[in-house]
Amino acid sequence: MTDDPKDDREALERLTAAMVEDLLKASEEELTAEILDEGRNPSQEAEAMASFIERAARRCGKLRLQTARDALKSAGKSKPQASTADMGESRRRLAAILAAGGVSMAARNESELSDNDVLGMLADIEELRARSKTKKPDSDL
Amino acid sequence: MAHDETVTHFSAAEITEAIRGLGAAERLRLRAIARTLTRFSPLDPDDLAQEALFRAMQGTRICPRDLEPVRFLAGVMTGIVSDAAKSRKRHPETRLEALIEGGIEFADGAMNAEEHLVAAEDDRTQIARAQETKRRVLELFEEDLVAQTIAEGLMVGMEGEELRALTGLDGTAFASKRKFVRRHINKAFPKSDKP
Repeated sequence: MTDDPKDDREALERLTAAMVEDLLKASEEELTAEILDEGRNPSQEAEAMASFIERAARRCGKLRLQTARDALKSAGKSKPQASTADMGESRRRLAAILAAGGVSMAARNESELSDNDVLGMLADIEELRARSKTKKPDSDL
Repeated sequence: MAHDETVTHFSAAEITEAIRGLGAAERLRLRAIARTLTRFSPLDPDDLAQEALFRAMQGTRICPRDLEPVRFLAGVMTGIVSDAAKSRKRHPETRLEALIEGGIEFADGAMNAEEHLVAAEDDRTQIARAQETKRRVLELFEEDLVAQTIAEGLMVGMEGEELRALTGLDGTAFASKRKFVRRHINKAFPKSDKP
């Protein structure tokens, strides 16, 4: 139906999207029958995905741990320290400051901000406040 | 997990919990979707699934509360494949895992996964492969014009009633034939598991 060979990629993308939609709507029985039809073992397939899920969770955990370590290291060098328990409060403080300035943390996707980011931003804001007070004692930054 | 009703998206911790709590049928569905999404490409379905899971759990892709986790993950995987297909740079590796092992930090964003998922293909190679794949798909149904019409209709974006009317089948027969088309394609384009 298409003459432009470049359209063939889009044609396959549309076919794939339709097949994915079918899978999303398929009943458990249909799904199982389809997997068996491909010569695969449904239990092993589900088990493999379970291991991928745990692997991804471990990878995330490692990354968070590394980020927290970096934050601690960084905070120990030049920035105010915050315990793990303080991080929730730090995030709330930063969200309140940003919201007061017309910026929503949600708009920035809060979950993308590491603890290190939060501590760093708070430290920067405090430094700016200190500077501002030195120049203009009545500043309300 | 209790949550603030005014928050419209799952937090990273909540979506992680939801994904880890998926039942066997939903995990099976996810694997089938990953395989389907990579069926016509050199991408590895397991690498794709793992990268999508990681992004979801890390919170770099956020899930609205009214979206089922499996549908959300299907969307994340589709996005990764689509972005990869758009990329035109050459790169020797095709497996996400190999890239990660090679020290590339996708999460930190200097180079993103899509850029590395180029799969050693330039634009011309991709076009030629797509042309050949499309020909092979339609050839599968040479002896079955109704099935061929369904495959071709899906390729041009026809859906539901419009496509059913084109085939002249009733609802039940159409659903059955559409399933036949999908299964036939799955068999003709198998994705082998990693050793």
